[in-house]
Amino acid sequence: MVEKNVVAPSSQKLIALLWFLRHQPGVALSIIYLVLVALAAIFGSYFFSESASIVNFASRNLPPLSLEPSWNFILGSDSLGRPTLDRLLAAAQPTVGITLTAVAIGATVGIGLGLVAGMRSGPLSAVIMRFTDALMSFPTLLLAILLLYVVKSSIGTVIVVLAVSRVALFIRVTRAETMEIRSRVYVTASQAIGAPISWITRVHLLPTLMPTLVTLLAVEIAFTMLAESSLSFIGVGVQSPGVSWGLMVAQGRDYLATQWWLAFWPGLAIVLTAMSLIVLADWMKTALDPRQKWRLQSAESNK
Amino acid sequence: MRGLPFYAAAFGLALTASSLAADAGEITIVQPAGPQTMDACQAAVSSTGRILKLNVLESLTEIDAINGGAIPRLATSWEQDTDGSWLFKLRQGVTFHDGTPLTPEAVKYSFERMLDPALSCDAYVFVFSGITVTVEAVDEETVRIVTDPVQPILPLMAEALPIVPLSTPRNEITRTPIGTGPYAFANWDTQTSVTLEAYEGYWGDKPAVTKANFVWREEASVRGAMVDVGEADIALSIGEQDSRESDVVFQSAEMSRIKINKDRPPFDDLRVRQALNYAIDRQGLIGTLVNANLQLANQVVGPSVFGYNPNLGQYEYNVEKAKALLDAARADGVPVDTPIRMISISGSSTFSNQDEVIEAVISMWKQVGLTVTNEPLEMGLFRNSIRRDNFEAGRAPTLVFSNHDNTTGDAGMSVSSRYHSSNMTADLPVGDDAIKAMDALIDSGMAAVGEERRAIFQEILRQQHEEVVTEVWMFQMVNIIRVSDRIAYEPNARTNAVIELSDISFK
Amino acid sequence: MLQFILRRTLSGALSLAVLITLIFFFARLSGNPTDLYLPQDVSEVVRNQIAEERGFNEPVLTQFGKFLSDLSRGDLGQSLRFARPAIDVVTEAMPTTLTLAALAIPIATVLALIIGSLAAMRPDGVFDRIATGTSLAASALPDFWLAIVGILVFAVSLRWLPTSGMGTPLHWVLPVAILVFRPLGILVQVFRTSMISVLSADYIRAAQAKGVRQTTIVMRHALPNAIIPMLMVVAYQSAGILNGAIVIEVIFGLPGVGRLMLDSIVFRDFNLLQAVVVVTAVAIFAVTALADVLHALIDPRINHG
Repeated sequence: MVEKNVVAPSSQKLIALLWFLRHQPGVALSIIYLVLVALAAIFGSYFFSESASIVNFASRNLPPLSLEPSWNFILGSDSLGRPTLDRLLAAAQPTVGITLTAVAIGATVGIGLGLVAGMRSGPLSAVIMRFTDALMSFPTLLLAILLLYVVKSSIGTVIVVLAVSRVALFIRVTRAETMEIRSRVYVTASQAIGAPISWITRVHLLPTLMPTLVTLLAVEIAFTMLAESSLSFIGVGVQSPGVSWGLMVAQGRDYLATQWWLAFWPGLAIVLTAMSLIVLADWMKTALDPRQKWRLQSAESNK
Repeated sequence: MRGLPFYAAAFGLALTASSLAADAGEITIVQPAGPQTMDACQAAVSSTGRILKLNVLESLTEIDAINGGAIPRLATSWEQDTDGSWLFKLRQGVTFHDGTPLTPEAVKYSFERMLDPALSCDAYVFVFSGITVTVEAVDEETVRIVTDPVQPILPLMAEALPIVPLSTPRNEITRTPIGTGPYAFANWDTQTSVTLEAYEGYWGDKPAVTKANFVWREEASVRGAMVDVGEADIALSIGEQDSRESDVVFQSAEMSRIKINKDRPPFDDLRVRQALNYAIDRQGLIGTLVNANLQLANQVVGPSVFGYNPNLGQYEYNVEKAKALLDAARADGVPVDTPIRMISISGSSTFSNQDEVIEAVISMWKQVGLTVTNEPLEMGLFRNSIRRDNFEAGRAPTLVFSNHDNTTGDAGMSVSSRYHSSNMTADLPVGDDAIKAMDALIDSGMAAVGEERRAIFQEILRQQHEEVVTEVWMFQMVNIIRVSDRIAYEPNARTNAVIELSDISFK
Repeated sequence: MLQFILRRTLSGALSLAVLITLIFFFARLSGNPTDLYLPQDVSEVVRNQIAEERGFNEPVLTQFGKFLSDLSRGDLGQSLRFARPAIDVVTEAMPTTLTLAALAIPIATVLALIIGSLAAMRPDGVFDRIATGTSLAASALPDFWLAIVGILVFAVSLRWLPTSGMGTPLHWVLPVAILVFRPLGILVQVFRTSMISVLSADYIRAAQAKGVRQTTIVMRHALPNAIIPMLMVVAYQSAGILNGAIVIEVIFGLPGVGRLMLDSIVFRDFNLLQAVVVVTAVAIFAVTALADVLHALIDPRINHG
């Protein structure tokens, strides 16, 4: 105990990190990887979009571990001689941008409608739920394609389309959870003493919903990334000259027998992102243990 | 414990053995897409036509795949009468697969059925629309075909119209086609395969292949793999990346080209259109991005088509010249630096690596100072946006990455559809007078026959290449197919549309 | 309960009506199919004549009215591309997709039960880490990538399996295996989590204290309780299997409804699209409604609207 006070705050953090690495290696690695992805998303296209688009037939079809003509060919190059590493880094921003925006829109709308449908049981709720069921019984991939045929394909529409295709799940989960929480004693009690719905939502519902929604968000980000890649496979979605990991995998599929690395690296990036998010979500769910959460809330509402 | 793996392995052995023991005369052909219909009516669609044409169904004539023009099939000879009508002499001793003989009545019935606008058959839509056709029997072995207006190349057009027996339903699409070909239609297994079997009563030589299965897979790598492992004998359209030494490469009738919509500046300026051509190192793409066997294109049709002009030059790769032309245009106030858009069909199969080809071309234009952005469109949107009546006012100057396939063997179809103002997707010269002159020239070519016809088409193609500079000419395309070791097959320019099973022999 | 089932069926029918209406209008917004069916070279006269004949030039509302009146007579119209009744095309394609689903879903469920139970017996143990890690990775792989690599490895290099197509039981191995991966990752997660929470319940603890064998505890006591939330997820995953089926059917050349839906959108074969949506949506509503009814039977507290 005494020792601990002597240690400088920075190395204290380092020790905490080391402890974390030792006891939660999966979570720690996930966080590190996601931070790297975030950095690539913020700076990648700024530094690499130029070098990722220069066509140079002299350096085409280089296999991974090539250090000639320069170090950025370490992951190989494509048939136009563009370095895969640079393309991967440049593609991080559109990939992450599209996915996060789509999930953010889908989640906001979905959670909002889900809360409405869960809090009120009237015609509005019925209408929302019939639309949700209708959306859910149509394959999301086809929904996306149909929408992309109606509106002209661009980054913006890809985002909207992915968002629309994820909305239904958020509505359903939020509504189910809301109805379950609503039936809990303390919520019923608040309603009985005439508390406004907005107040109940803010104080009781959202905090209790959070763990579920955070998990769902992480998984949805992962699957939206995959859905984006499937759209590219079908030939809608992000299109060349735009670039995204999903598009890179889809374009690389023609080269799987000869230049496997073209589809492998972006595929790996997607898989690792998805896995990191799911591991992290799993850990956060445990960390945000509902029982402790409940105790915190009751303390708060007692004030 | 002998678990599932054991049985699976035993089953696998049995399966391999059975596939080896397959009938010696049986082959399997895998194509990119499955047929939607099995009627002579839709034989122009390649997924259907490849199976039916010249195998199950025959027409009065067929196209000479090497020299263009019509050669005899069900008709042994033909001549044009003084009134412009045509007399076709029918081959004797020909029977349909249902046993009935080929008669003038059957020919008459086939023409009436196929040209009925209500059925909107391919022969009507592609070839005979706007023409009144009457067929009459002259005697037991001769038919007279009267057309209004007079058709100078009717024998060639007759190729598009398969002859079917009187038992074919008149007003509906059949799923069990009957013809006179060397193979009889045997089975169409709910969308997984079509089987043809050799027809005993065929009038011509007996083919080596006795039974043929057509199957379909969308992925090129899967098609190639099927030949590798012995599941198929011929795989069509192998991707450039997957192709190897032993694959068969052949010239197809397809031409890849980039259309220049001249409705918006700077493309109304001739120098800019020339610069577009000079700026591209096509030779540099051959063997690196596109197949090493590709030939440079300089017109909309290939050498096997009647009317092809062998005397045209090429726009050689010349960056300095391209820059100089653009500078000159810029000095005259032409908005050369306007952002340009190029539309293309997303996921198109013209090039198996279309995205890369387009990016390479765009980067070459960038070197001479042109800013072009690729805009891949889904097929439906693409087809809509290339129509002149859908052009939006104030749109960006537009290039169209596309291809043109002429399987008719006559340049008439190409020049009238690509360069005549009556077609909403045609590429027109700049200015009303130039458009009118071109239309008139095409009209005169369509009405002419023989060497005169050839000369006019050649003149049209020369003007398009040298004076109008209507497009960016890319390549005469090739097609790659993979053929198994056990068979010998020599493809030709029409293999995309027709695979004549009689051409296949066993080694 | 009967009232609940009735209400559930009614709401399903309403959702179906909403879906069909949405699809009908969205499909028509996506463009006139005339240009897709005719070559670019076709003359304008023929183009207009054919659009007229097929009714594409009629106002959309008129088309919708005709669609509704045909539908009420059970007629879903002719497929434009196949030139035969759309419903026939759909019923021919149904068995393929049903077979895919009927193989993939139970296999994924059983595998998830096994892996999930084993993993939950020792949470954070070596097996747990490896099993959950692998199943997650597998479900995070793009399925078209997995399919093509699978063909290259198992059919071309090893020659254990046929590349694609149908015909023998062996032909189903690769497509089903790939279809299993996506739901498997999720199901393992769901089942592992609910298994862990059940295993930490008091009565299980008590049984453990009494010295009952761990396997017996898992099989006899924990499994039945943990399986309920799992079944709900299974139901919704079955509905979602169509997504995977589209890609799988395209690559393996299987003539199922997934690729039929895709093609009907790509080629603007509206009647076929409507027919296939009606058929699949009814199937999906049936599955989810069944799951809801089962859920309500098991857990009467929850009131599904």
